[in-house]
Amino acid sequence: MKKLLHQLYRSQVWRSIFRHGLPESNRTRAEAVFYNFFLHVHPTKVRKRSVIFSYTWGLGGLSFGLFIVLVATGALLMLYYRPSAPQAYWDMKDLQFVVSSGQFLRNMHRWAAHAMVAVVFLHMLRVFYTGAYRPPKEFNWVIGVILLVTTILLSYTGYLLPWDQLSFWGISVGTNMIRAMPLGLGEKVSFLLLGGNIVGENALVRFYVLHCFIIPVAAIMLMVIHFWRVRKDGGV
Amino acid sequence: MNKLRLYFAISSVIFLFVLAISPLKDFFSEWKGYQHEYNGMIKEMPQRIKPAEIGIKQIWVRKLDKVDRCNTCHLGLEEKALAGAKEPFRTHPHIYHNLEEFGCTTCHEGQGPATSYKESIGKVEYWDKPIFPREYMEASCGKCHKEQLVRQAPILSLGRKLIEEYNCVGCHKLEGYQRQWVPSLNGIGSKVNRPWLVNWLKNPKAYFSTTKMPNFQFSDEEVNILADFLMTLTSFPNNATLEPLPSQLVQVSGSRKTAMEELGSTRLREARCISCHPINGKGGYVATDLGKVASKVKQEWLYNYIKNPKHLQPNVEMPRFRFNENELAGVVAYMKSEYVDFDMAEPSAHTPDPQFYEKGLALVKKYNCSGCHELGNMKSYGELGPELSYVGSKKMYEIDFGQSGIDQSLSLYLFTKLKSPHIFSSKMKMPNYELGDEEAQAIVVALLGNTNEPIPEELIIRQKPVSTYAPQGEFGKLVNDLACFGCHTMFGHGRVVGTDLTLEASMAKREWIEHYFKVPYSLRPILTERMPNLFLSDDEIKTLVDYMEKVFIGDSLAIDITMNETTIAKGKLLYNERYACYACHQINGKGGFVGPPLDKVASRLQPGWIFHWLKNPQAYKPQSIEPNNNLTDQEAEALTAYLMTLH
Amino acid sequence: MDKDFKAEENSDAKKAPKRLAFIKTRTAARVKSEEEEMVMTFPNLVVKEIIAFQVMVIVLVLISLFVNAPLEWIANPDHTPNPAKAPWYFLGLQELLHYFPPVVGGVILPTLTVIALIAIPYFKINLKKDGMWKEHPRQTLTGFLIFVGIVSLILLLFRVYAMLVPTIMISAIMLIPYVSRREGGIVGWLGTRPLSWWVMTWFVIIAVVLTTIGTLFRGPEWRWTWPWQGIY
Repeated sequence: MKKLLHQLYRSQVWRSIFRHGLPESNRTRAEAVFYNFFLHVHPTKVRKRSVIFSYTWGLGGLSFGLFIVLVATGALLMLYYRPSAPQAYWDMKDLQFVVSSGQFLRNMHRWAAHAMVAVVFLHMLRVFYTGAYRPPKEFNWVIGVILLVTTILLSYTGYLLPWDQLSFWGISVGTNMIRAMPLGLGEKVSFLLLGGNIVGENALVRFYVLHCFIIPVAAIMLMVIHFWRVRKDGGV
Repeated sequence: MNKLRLYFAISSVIFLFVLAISPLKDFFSEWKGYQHEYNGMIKEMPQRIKPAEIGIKQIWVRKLDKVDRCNTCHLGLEEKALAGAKEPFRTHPHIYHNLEEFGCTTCHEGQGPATSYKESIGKVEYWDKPIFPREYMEASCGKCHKEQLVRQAPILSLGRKLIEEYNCVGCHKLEGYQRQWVPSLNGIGSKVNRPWLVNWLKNPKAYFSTTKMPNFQFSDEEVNILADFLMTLTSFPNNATLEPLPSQLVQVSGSRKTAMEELGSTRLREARCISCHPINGKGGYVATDLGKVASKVKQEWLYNYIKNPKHLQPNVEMPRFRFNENELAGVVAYMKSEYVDFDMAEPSAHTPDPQFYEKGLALVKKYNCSGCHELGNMKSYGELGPELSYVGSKKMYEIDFGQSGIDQSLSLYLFTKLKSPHIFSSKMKMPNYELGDEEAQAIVVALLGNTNEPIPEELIIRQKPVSTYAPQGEFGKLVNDLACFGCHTMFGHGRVVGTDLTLEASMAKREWIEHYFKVPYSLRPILTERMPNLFLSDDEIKTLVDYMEKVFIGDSLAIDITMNETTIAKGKLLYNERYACYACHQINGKGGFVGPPLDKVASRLQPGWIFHWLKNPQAYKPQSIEPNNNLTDQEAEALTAYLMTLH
Repeated sequence: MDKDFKAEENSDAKKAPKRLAFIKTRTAARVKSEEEEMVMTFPNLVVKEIIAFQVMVIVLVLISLFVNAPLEWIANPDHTPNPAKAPWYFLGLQELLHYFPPVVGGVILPTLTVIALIAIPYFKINLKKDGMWKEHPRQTLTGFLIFVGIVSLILLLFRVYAMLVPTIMISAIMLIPYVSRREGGIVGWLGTRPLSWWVMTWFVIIAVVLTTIGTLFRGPEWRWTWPWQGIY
């Protein structure tokens, strides 16, 4: 058995995928991080202090983890969803009744979204109270604040999509706040956002595109910068 | 380091395990269990039944754009062999509609897309249309069948009839119902006695147990104000005035009075007032009870009314009987002496509220009396109560259940509201109709069918437009004067208490009709609603029958019958042996009582009519219970020939 | 006071890291090189990350298995539920709308909050980690009292007790180190908190209080209801 595995590790196919040996020595361990696309955001060595859980509570990492969960479940949900009224509502019912694990997917997506808003907020508090926004990380803090706003917007745009009373009126209340903007700007902005004067099918399509494409892409770009900066400023 | 490995191992195992739970739940779903059970069950059966393929099944109702998945578990709906199987596998009883075309929830309600028992029944939060209980099922027929009478849905039809009879459209907006004629209140002050009015307002059913007038549950103060107000309305419509009582009615006494009353009693019986008017609850149903009418109305009014009903109440469906002055006085005198309410409660003395007129007018407006009754120039508007056009689609959040504590369901809400209108809020103005459970249920069924579901026009069966047939000329004047439409239908217009007269001249012989007007004997002794004797003159009868012979006739119905020994004998045989007509009809005192006796049928009916009637009775009278035996032409002809020998 | 040390300003971040230090005592500036203990990223960090992710997913899955995402009636523009609530993270804002005119509650205050959050690292005041009463305590107190007084007055004017009570409580706690001046213990720790720390804490508490009230304590017509009377 062991022999067979060893043969596998030495085979050309394996070596073409993983260019390093088994992480048994410090050199191969360093290589494991170094040569791996997903891990190379990390340095090969980190301060022992920063590996301790209570140092950061892992909140930034968890936020990213929740984002991964949301992208995965969200992409699957998109397969069953039509952004039109009233089909959107019946698609929710179909998710519940006929899609394998459909209700489970929706639950995961919903609760992960709520959790992400909370975790990102907590992450901001942690950064503030540990003073981790001090120079040279001040701009990364700004990106972080924008990411918090982005997260809330992501959650909020997704709130409309089930097209039930809860979502319809939740969005109506929110967009009415925008209308209070001075200089007649409110009406214009809310019209732009809703594609009309009230929440309707146009708003549903706009929120769908915002939720599934525009805001996630923006969030991913900001996240890339955020992580890159963390690393450049001496973090993990 | 090893600890970290251990944690990693543990969390990985749990991670994989929890991710597997949801797919496993799907794998062991409720509906799969039913499908396996079904396949197991049919294997045990002697008949060969196609087993179910495991998987969710659905009916896509294209015309209504909805999906029903009930057949995922209800697998034997169209398997005749499973009529006795247990649910959910039992055969569906006879369906009037194609399952594939209409689906399940179109009729049953419930949550069509659901695939679990609880969800599909629809008694879950945020689903407002749970499956209909059996007694409300017919509501769904009403979604497409908008006619007044839906033959296979008796409860729905009853409900629609009641909605019309109780004149719900007086207060509520609702399409497809005719406003009912209700006595005008103009002149009521010259018509009734105030004590009667007070009692009537307090509780109409105490005076006339089947009146359509509801109980408004007025307070004593409101009753007094309203009575005072109504007693001021002394002038009749069209400026009609009362003639004074004739002298023989005022001054008469002793034996002459008795003789006059006897004459009145005889005429009253001959005129068959009881066909329409009940007397202390016994008799017809189309008009008001006469049992205590002498305590209700003033004698002067009664005399004038019987003399010419439409003079005081335009549009009332009461015939003007051709009584002479003596007979008229006799009838009034008899009623005056006989139809008295000896137990009528004397209202307590009261001093009129100085502002009774304004307050009374306000009450009349508040309770929308003019919704039903004609009252001066007051508009009769149907928008006091909520619109009922789409009441069947009401959402739970649109309903205020108040403190009633009943289950939150639309059918129960409507039922409770009809039975006790003030239960949800004491501010409601709807009066109490004191409906029985069955009546209330029927009305709820009719109301629940009023939905705003997007049903394509081609599926909707509308009420045929109301006939506007109105005869003109001398005949027309007579028909109006005699209120024939009150009982008879002609060309789709009129009530169906008596027969449909549209083909009368094709059906009956002239001599018989003429005789019938003079002596309206009863064809069916078991009926209560009999043709009254209107005491018509020969000229009037001639006018009527002449017109009937020209108009009330179906050209294709007249045929020649060959009368010879063989056909008559064959007909007799068919009558007695093959179709056993005597089970319902009588000849020479032998036979059943269901149909009319056929003793002298040859002098009553036209042969063409008998022939066509025998071929298809329901074509001429849809509600007839005469069986359609699919007779051949020869059989019908033979039977007709036989019947034409019965003079 | 004479400066002993002039901060060098250089735009080239590689040559001169923008880290300012004000050294007050007469000591020679020297860079203390800390020798921190390092560990390999793989497996120490990576495995921990994976475990954290897995635990998070496990918790999410368990919640998702037992609690269904809400789905109410189909949207109906003709019927406004009472109360109509935004998602929970906006209920603090909605609560503000209940007190202030829409322009203030819906636009100005949230915008100011975001600007304030962005501005935090650029605020000079953050650079010194000193407690707020360390320098010029008397002037600070005057300014502090005037500011708190104005804010409280505005809140009182609009009857925003939900904000007034936490504001006054936090202000009172802020005053404790000024009054007692003890070095150790909690009071000493409070004494070392800079102004920005207090502002942030105030903001977080207000946000939590308003969001909680909006979520749990508001019923029809935005009236006060207790959670056991039903959560709307």
